Amino acid sequence: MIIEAGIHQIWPGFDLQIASELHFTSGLTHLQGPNGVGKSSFLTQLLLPRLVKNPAYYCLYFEQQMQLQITAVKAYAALMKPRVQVEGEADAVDFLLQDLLRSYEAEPRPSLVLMDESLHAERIKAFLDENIPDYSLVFSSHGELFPSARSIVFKPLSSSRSLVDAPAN
Amino acid sequence: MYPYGYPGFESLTLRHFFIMDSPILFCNASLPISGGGTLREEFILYHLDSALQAALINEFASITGKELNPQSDLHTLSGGQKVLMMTLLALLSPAKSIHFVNLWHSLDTQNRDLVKDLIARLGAERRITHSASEDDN
Repeated sequence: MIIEAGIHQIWPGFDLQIASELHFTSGLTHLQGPNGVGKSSFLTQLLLPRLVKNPAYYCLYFEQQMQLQITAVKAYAALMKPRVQVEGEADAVDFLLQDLLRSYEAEPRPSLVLMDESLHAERIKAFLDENIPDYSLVFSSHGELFPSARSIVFKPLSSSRSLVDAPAN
Repeated sequence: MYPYGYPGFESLTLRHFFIMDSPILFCNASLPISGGGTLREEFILYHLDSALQAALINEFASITGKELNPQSDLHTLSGGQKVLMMTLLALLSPAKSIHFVNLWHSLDTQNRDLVKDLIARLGAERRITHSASEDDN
């Protein structure tokens, strides 16, 4: 999965200037930067739409503030076989991971997991390490979650543009 | 914070009375926007009068540079900015007791310090508590 260098419009009046081509093949990628600089938008407006259109990958996305996603997962889990009752955030995370594993076991594919400031980051990574051999985890976090991750750094250039750069790690 | 079992209140009924007598505004950073999305709806939910509404808009603009109005769609804010908005709404509301859940998680270092200052400045007369997860309530 590649995001091309250049200026990518995210919303009317806001774009991301990507300094060099970004590759998301395997391993861990840490999106770093202050609040409001476009990290979540990068995930939802650039990376996620490309993944959804690409059947070569399995894609799993953990939203930053999961409450609405939990509602959707609860409904899905209650309707789809095997029917499961999802109670809260941890349950929803487990359900999504198990769903990925079921798909992976039926037909292995590279799996790209997007995690936006998740409260369950360590648990998600441990599950992936144990169960999904060829995964790529792209995550945003204000802390140093996984030191081995390569960094993509977001810097505000103005209120309407942020620079996205991947320094050599 | 009120863990289960308040001193002297072993009965569930008495515990409920205790809570009713001292209502707590719960603000969960996993769901920072409570209404349908506009700032006006949050003003109504948090019971802010026009003077406090103006104070909030000014304070938010000074922190983020974003000029909002009551019709603004809060879903256009970033995750951290939504948490800042929730914090300001709570601190300007009439609530005497506020409990924040996972307040710091989505905030960068600068905004964490800023929110600590806001709580010290606007929350001085209130009981303000925190927990790291909904399960701690």
